[in-house]
Amino acid sequence: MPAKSYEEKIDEILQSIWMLKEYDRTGVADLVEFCPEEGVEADLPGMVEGRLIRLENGSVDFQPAGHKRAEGIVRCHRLAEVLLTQLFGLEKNDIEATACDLEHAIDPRVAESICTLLGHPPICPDGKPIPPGSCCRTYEVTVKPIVQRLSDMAVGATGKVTFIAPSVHSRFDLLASLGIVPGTIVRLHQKIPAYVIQTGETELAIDKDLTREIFVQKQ
Amino acid sequence: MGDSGAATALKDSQRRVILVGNPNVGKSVIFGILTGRYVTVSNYPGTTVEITQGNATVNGRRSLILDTPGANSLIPMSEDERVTRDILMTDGDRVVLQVGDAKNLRRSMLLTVQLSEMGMPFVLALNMDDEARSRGVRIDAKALSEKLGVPVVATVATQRTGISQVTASLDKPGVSALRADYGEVIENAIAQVSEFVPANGIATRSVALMLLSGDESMKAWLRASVSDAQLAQIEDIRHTTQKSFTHPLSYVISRARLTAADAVVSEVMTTEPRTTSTVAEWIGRWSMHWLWGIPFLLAVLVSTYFLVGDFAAGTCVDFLQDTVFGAPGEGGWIVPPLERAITSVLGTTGVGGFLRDMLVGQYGVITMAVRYAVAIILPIVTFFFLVFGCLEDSGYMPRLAVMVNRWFKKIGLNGKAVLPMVLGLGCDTMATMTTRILPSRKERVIVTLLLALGVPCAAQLGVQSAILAGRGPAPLLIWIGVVIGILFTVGWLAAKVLPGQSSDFVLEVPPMRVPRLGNILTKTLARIEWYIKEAVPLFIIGTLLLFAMDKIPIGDESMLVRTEEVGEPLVTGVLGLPQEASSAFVVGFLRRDYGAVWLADAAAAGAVTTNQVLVALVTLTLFIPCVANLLIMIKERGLKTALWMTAFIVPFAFLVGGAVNLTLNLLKITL
Repeated sequence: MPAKSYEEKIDEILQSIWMLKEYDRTGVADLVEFCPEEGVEADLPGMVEGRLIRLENGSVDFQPAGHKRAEGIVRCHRLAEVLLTQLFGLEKNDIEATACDLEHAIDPRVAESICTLLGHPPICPDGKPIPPGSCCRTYEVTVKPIVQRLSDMAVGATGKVTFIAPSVHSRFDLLASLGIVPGTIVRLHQKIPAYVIQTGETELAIDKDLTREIFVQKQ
Repeated sequence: MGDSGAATALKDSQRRVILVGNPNVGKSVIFGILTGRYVTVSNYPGTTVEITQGNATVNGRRSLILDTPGANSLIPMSEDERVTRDILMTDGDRVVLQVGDAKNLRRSMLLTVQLSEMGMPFVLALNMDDEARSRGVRIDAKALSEKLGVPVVATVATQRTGISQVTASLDKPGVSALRADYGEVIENAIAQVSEFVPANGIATRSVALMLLSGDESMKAWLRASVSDAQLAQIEDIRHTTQKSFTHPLSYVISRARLTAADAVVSEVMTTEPRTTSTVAEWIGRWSMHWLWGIPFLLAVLVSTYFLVGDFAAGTCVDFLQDTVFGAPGEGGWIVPPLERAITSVLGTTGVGGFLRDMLVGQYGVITMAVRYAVAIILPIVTFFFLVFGCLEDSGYMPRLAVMVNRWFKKIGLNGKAVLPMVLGLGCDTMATMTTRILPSRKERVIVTLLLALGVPCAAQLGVQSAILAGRGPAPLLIWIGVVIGILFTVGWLAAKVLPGQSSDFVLEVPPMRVPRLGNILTKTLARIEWYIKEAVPLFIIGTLLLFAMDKIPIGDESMLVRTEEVGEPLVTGVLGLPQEASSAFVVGFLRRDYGAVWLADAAAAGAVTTNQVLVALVTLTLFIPCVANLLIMIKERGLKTALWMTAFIVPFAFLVGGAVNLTLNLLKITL
């Protein structure tokens, strides 16, 4: 692996802090163990000075500037993962290194375009949340998305489910028991008064809430 | 375990044939053919809510046939799915007849994988083969049978096609070797959990997978043979295994099963693309279209009104009431000659006179109970169930669910609740039982409450529309408005107050089909039989009660008059009704339609004003439907919940009636 610049190393540390926080772990010791970079402890004082993080009783937390930067890095990394797996069909194990490189190369504007292209995915292939960008909040669709929510697909169109991101876990089971999993082809028959979709020869009436959580690639 | 108790009690020598399959694939039709026993069959997923059993001789062997509620997965997500899973777990000599929808092979295979994992001997019937063919779906049954290692038969159960092959193959079922590939991590976990699983009716591997899927309903069953420490260990294994996956284990397991199902489907099924739609498909589309669905719904409502409210409650009732029954001293084929005959035999005084009054007097069993039940209620109920049967079998009900989903959402329900609610317009008692198709307790409680509170049954509806006929549209509209308003308000409040989650709306919309007259007639007859058994005894009890109250003196007045005096502040004061209306409420406790019939008599005699009719109708509509409904409420929801509901409904009915009366008076409205 080519030597990383100092800034790239800081990015990696910030990303590690973010991921640890997702597991409710904030200890400096955890960070040293978890972060793939060498000599993390030596870099922390500089990061405190740069107002990125603060250290307290052996635990580490973000300052606003650090939080923002970490959020951007994690977002780019996870968007890159979705792009490589969902769109290019690469195996998850093969893309980690590429995603790590891309996260530094993608600037926020490019990130927005990728995000829009992918239909503003809320989760990465591992199921971890992707921090939303401003494009997700306004829910831009100017770049024609390749992956879109089933709820946004045109009536009469057919799509292949790429992933399902339910807000309630039991919905996974509910949809799977009806045969709706990634790879399933669904056709959208109508949107009002309720969504009606077809998979195989099964027609299902379904809540809009659920169709928002099913992401499809138009066929 | 749970509902399967009845099945375990049977003799060891008797073989059980368990019908299992996705909802709405025709299990009940096949059950009916095998046993000759009728169970409700309809084109609506979830019609069967509990195990139905019947005896049959299959290939010369006495067998007990069990019809189970439809299930999409044997990891249950609702009460009726749990019933199906539980019955499979009981030991003994049994064979499963899996019924699948031929055009939806993939979903059938999802269950097949699970039956295979259970190590269950089974036979697969691919039903509705005709529908699959007309849609260009072809299944190579022979290849499928070889692949699975079990007999596979294509059937069209409604035409009895293939049934003889099914019964023949029940003697030589197969145990399938079909397995899903779960990967190393889950396989290890299966091996670990299997150590704790006690011997039971199905393969331990299958139980281990249920436990890994986090099936809570299994825990109670395990507790009988497994210590708390061991349970905790199982939970630990589950947690550790879950850590290797980002998606819930149950989902990972389902996906692996679907992959296995897809592999089978791709080998045995071919689909020819279709370019044309059938007429039935067009109607199916239109009837749930946001705009065209509305005239469709209105057309259904208007034709129902004309058949049930106008023809049955008007023409038929008048004919039966005036021409067939008649009244003492007036014309009629039954009552006048009967009254003369009874009077001549029993006389009018002493014990004979007492008995005569009991039979043909003012509160006589024949003149009142039998006349009400046969001449008034029966024709209305019959026509309602005929119409309801047509709607059910045509496949319109799920489409109606689509149309009303939005409105039902506002009261904490969703479109799925439409079946119990509309069935309530036939019989609230039956409807309360079908609330089992609803996935959450919260929804079941709300529907039970609304049914008891404000959904008038066919009998009541018919009588009430007859009372309102000829009084102009105003009282009718106010009555409908008040009742629907109350249902929405109470539903909305209940949705806010009751704890728990409402479930997601996901409902299968089956194809539109031309209803088969035979099935509708059989179904209507079964429902009328139920109605007669339930209602007529209550009518007779109610009449005897009134008769007794009329005969028993308290002081110088009869008990009936005394009761009317006691009820006077409420009935006359609050509701502004004549004193005699008390007796309508007394019998209204037994059946509210019975109370309505009293009102119909009073209205026909011109004893009440239209304002009073409206107030009485609103109050009676909001009453508890009948004693039978109360008993079913207790059975389905528990004594406490049922009593709470009653304690709310009865005073609330009077309160609303009083409010209507007060409003009419204050605004000086005379209808």
